[in-house]
Amino acid sequence: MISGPEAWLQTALLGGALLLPWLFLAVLPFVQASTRSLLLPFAPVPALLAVLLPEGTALALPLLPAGLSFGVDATARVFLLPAALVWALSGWMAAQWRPDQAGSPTFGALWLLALAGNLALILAQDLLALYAGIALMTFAALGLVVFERTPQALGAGRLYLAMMLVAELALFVAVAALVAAAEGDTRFDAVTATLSGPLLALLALSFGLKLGALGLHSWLPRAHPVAPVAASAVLSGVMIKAGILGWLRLVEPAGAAFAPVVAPLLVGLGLAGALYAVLRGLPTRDPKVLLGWSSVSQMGLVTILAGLALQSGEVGGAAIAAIAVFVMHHGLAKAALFLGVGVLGASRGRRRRWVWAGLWLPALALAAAPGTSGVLAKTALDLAAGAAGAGSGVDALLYLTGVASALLMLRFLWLTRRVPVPDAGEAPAVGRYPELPWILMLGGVLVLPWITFRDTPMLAVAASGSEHLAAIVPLIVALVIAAAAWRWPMAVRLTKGMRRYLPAMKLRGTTLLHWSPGPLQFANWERHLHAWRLIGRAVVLVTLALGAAIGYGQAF
Amino acid sequence: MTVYLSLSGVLFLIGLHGFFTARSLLRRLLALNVLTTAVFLLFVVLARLAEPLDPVPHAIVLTGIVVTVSTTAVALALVVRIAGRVRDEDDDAAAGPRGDAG
Amino acid sequence: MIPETTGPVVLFSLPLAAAIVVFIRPRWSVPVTLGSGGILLATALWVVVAVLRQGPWRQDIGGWTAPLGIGWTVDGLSAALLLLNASVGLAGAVFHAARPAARTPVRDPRFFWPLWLFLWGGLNALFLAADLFNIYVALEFVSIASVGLIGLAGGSAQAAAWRYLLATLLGSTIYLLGVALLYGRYAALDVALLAESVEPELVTVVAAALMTLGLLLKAAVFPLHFWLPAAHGRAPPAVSAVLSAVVIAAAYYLLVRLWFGPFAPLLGPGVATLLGLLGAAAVLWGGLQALLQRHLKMLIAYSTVSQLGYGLLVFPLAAAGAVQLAWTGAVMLVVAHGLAKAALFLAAGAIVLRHGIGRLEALGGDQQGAVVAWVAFAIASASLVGLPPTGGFVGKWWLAQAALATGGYFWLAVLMLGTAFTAGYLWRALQAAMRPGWETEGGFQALSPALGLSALGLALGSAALGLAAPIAARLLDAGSGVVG
Repeated sequence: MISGPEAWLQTALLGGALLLPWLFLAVLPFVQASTRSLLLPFAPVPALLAVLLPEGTALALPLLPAGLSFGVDATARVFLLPAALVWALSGWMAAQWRPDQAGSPTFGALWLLALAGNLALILAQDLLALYAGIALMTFAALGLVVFERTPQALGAGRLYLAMMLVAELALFVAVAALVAAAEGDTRFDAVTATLSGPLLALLALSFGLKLGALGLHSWLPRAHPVAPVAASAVLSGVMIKAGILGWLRLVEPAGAAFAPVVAPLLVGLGLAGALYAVLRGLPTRDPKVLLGWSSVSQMGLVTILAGLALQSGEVGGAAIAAIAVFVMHHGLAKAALFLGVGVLGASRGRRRRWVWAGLWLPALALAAAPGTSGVLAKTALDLAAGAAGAGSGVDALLYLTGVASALLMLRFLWLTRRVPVPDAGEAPAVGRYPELPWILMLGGVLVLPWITFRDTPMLAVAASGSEHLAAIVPLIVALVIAAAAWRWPMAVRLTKGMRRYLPAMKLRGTTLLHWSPGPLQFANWERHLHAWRLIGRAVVLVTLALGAAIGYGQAF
Repeated sequence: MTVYLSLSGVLFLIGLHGFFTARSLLRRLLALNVLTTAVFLLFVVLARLAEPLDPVPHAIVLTGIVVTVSTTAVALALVVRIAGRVRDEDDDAAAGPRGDAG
Repeated sequence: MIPETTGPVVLFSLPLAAAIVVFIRPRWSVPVTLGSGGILLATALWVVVAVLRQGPWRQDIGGWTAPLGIGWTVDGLSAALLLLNASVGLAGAVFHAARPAARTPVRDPRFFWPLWLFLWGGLNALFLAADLFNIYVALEFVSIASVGLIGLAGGSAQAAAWRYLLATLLGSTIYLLGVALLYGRYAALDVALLAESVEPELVTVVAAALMTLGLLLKAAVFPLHFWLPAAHGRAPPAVSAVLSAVVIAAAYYLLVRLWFGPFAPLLGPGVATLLGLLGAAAVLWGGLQALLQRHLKMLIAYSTVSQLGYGLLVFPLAAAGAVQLAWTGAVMLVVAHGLAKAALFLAAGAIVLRHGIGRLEALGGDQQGAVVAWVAFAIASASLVGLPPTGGFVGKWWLAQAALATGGYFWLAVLMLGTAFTAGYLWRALQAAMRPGWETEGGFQALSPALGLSALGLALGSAALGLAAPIAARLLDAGSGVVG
């Protein structure tokens, strides 16, 4: 630990990263709209700098019952870099392309709150801080989801609220139980030691909902596309990763004991999710909805890794390394795609063609084309699966997910080539180079993963020519399928028809929330409770019950 | 003394019954006053039972009477205002949940 | 240095003196109320700091000691509620002073301010009172002022006021019967004296049952909540705020005072479970009814029925052994609810004033001009739902810890289910703001910013309460003799 002014500066930077969104939130009502939209890109800047902080930089705030502690460690750093970058660039995009939205105090407040929650959960070093960050981010994001105020947005918001509420309640119970078992200690290492089966199930439910794991995903393809594009970018690129971070923080350290049961389950669930989401995403015509399904598919792959990460030793290490790659690779690429859709919708003519060409880069990255970070992610995934000694069946399925992802991205490029994109921004873009943040993001997609993971063994494997050559094959297969579908549309219709036979995997219970309050029976019962005679009976009954209950067990 | 104690108890029960079964606003108010009287009677009996005689219950009852007079006055004022419009059993609060009073 | 015993004297006498002044000189109403409100808030803060510094104290007015004199006790619990009362009282007064006069729902504005100050003083007297009969008098004081304030809205509010009056008088009378029985048995009224002498026997049991019932009626605990929704839903907004936030909390305060004071020897598993079950039923039934309401203010009123149910969970959890956690958690929850609920009512008042109508589906459309009110509504909602770092979260956290420490998984489930209901009905209200609506005839009412800001202040207070959790825990630990 370094002491002196340097340590003080480091702590200050960490504090600044956490508190700047709050500070901006406080000044939000008092500044002009143009200044307000500038706050969005600058709020995550200290967090971006905080990536450079040495591990072990810590900050404790005496808030809430047990105090909150934050700090930078290896895990936090993995998540912090892509998160801060995507937040900053998306904020910049929002300011450039939708100054009307970015300048609105409501949008700004929701944005800053979600950002504050996201940074808090990434930098959290104790359970309460993590929980507080997750809750804050989740509910602020609800505001972003419904921000457009369309009926679709409100419907998606209702579903999002219902499912996230389940996640929050499960997480609250698990967190409270962990702390109770650790006798009030909220540090991660103290609480993970007390992890038990039921709590693991609660955590898995909660984080699975956040992540959009198969069966718990139905909110995701509805909620992500309806938000304003900049918000979609952070939702799908960054916030969705909260589930995997929570998993790494709370479950992974104690995972070895549960690995024999849980790991195969998660691997199976992840594989199924990765394929299922592609099948659901292919028929859609809305590129943003397609991107939402693509996120579900990618999170299926992360679910596989979450299962593998539970195992100790080499497998776990390889899986965690692969998760780190996925967080950055998917975060940047998906954010670039969502933002690109927004730029595309607001561009015309020649410029539009250039933008469309730019979209190829992140799309190809997600399709794991040679030379892109997709190859790195795929290599990392294969290495982890290989280390786990997964059978050839799993290998084949993983290969299939590669083909499926490529197909989905080709479909995305096809959809965006001419079709006017819904959700086109009406307000003119401001600034001289409104595309600049997006171009920066594309640059990030291109080089950042390679730089970040330059010293890792998987990069050495991924950088070899043979990997890149091998990466071409799924892409070619996908191209052939796509060409065939274009040539013989019949087959496409078949694919669409398939949708009917796919099981609609949704939480059926959530439809309960759709009933509108009518003259329900409950309201009638309540009315009866207001009649004096019944009140009289209630009074007598409660008195007798009270008397009996107090007298019960007393020795007179 | 037992007589007065029982009288207090019976008065209380009568008041309670009347309160919940009354059909008019005024009767309900009267039933409530009967209830209060029963309690005051109990206090007075307690004062008599104490050894030596206890002045505190008398102070309590005096204060209580003042309080009851005030509450009854408020209640009567309300009765005057709503008597014409509200039949008591119909003033069901949930029947028309109108929250837009302001 | 003024002794801290001056604080309670100011808290009691200033509102009553101010009430008399504004009754005689109605034109001075607003400045006098706001001025004394500011002083009262500062005094309440001072009392809180004094309790934090040197712990609870007892003082006898005019040197007359019990049994004849009137004694006051000040401890963490009463200080917290005094502060709650002062905050809500001041914010409500600001709101009412700033409401547009043209659309005033108040029939007879002359009587509002004196009644408001009388209610304020009565509540302070209640939180200070140290003996059972003074508590009765203070309760009646509060009832009369509340009924008057509800009735001022006129129309259907008067019927609601009538029901409230009957319910609350019935509650007081039943409570007084219990007091009489206790006095007959122990010849003492002082809460502290009784706490030393009470033993479990028949008369005490009956007295405890009666007093509890009376207070349950006043706290509108399911199934005795029949009077609350109409009374709180139809009163003027500022009145709804103080009724739901403080008057209900006052009845709850007495329940806690009694059961963790004189009746502590009686608090067995039986009665604790019964009270807990009543609370659980209130949480669920109130939440369900709130979900079904069509009017913004009725929704908030039913939410009070639901939220107060949480407070009753303190009994089973404390009886199971987690006294400290359950007690701090429940009181924290009730205080945080008070601030948040008052903010909700004030915000709803501003919104309803703007739209001229309170039906949920009519609240859509352009929200320019009501933004601050909606922001306050959202922050207060976050606290009611229990999002960190608000006070609601901390209260739920402590209660959950108590439930887990004692294996009370049923109570934990109630806590969680209630939270789901809360999120559901509050989202229904918030969502109304986002729907495209129709313009009211003649456009929207222009509002003074003070309306929204008064709600925002309370909402922020409720949120900040969570951040100040360590201090709040220290304050509440300086509570009644049983705890800490």
